[in-house]
Amino acid sequence: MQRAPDQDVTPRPTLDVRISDTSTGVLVHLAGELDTENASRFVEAVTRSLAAHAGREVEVDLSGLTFLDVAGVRALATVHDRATRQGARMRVRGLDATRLPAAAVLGLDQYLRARPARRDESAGPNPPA
Amino acid sequence: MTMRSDSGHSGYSHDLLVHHSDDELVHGTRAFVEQGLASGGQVLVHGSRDRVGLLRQELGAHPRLEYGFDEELYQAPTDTLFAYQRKLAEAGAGVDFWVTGTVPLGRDAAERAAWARYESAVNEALSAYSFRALCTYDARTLPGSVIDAARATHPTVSTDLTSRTSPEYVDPAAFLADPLAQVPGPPGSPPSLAITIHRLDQLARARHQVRTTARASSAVPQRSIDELLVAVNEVVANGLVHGAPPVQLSLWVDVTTLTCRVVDSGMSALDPVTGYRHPEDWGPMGLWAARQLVDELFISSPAEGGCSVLLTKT
Repeated sequence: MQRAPDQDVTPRPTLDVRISDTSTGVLVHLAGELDTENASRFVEAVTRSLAAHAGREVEVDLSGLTFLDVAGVRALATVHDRATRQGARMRVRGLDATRLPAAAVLGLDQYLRARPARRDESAGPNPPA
Repeated sequence: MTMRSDSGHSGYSHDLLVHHSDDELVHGTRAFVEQGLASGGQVLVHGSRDRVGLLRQELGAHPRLEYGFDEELYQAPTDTLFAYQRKLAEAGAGVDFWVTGTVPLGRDAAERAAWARYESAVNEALSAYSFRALCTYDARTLPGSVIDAARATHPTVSTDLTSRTSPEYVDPAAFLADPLAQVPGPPGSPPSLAITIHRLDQLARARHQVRTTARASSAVPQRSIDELLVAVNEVVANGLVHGAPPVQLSLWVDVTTLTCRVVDSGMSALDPVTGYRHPEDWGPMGLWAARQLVDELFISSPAEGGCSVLLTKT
């Protein structure tokens, strides 16, 4: 096996966030890779949209995600908690444990289904156990 | 010298019984099981099918007594360790788990050492819970090195139903430095891939290179590659944020095994047992997640500086 030379690693855009209005609220479609580098941009984008849709439904579609890391799982939990606090109902579609192993290890699915946000933002949400 | 506590909340213990006969095994196991049941705990007896058959005959049935086979519960050390942790974390306070049995003998020296490291890591990963374990080792059949390692990984040793502090016990971080732990190093061959990462916005590209290289030259399943990618991602991000850039990533690709080494340029050492304990309230969880997604993860702090993390995945 040949040793590859030390390679330059250049950045490239990895996440596509599309937010669209639906009859009941908003649909957030994620495509690409949600990771520690772009997680905060995703949270900001959805939070802005939530402010305009208080009390409505937020559906986050993960079926186009090819990678999710621990920071991405945190971001999804944060968005869920903010939505819940604003009286919106957040649902997630396309959360596949095999494709997104970080979500499985951190128990994101159980967290989103079982734990509405109750704590204030400064303390952070409860960890997915 | 301490007798096992009879109080309602039993706390943590990880006791060793080295037995020289079936009678000695049955006697010690019975005392442990009876104590667990009397204290209101959930009790599990595990081992090989033969061993569990023998104990089942001797101990009978009870609503809070469960029997399990190692071929189901003890397939891979990391999976077993975190399955116990998940079970204990989800049960919460008020449930005491009592587990007794024989950790499987690996097929070769490397597997035996991996189970010895498991026995040591239990003391870090599970000690926050109400968890009582009595590990039984058969002196008639097990190699001496396995018994030696067991004495170094169990804080207490049981003799005649009395548990005493083990003089040979060393804590999990110290055990990893012990020759008995046989911590592996990176392969001696040149890596299949070597990358230098300076910033978080270079992570995605690095992941793609790892994925492409792993796919091209190994028969490791796609699911394993995806799990390794998340683990490596967390370790590199950790090195960039908590260590210092640049981070050197090396990947060795074998038909059946992927080995990855991540070295950061930070000045401070990282505790080799970081990531075993369940995180609290959204505390750092990158290394805890990473440990669960690979076969094993080893943290070391080389003399020349930086923090080095070796990850293996089959």
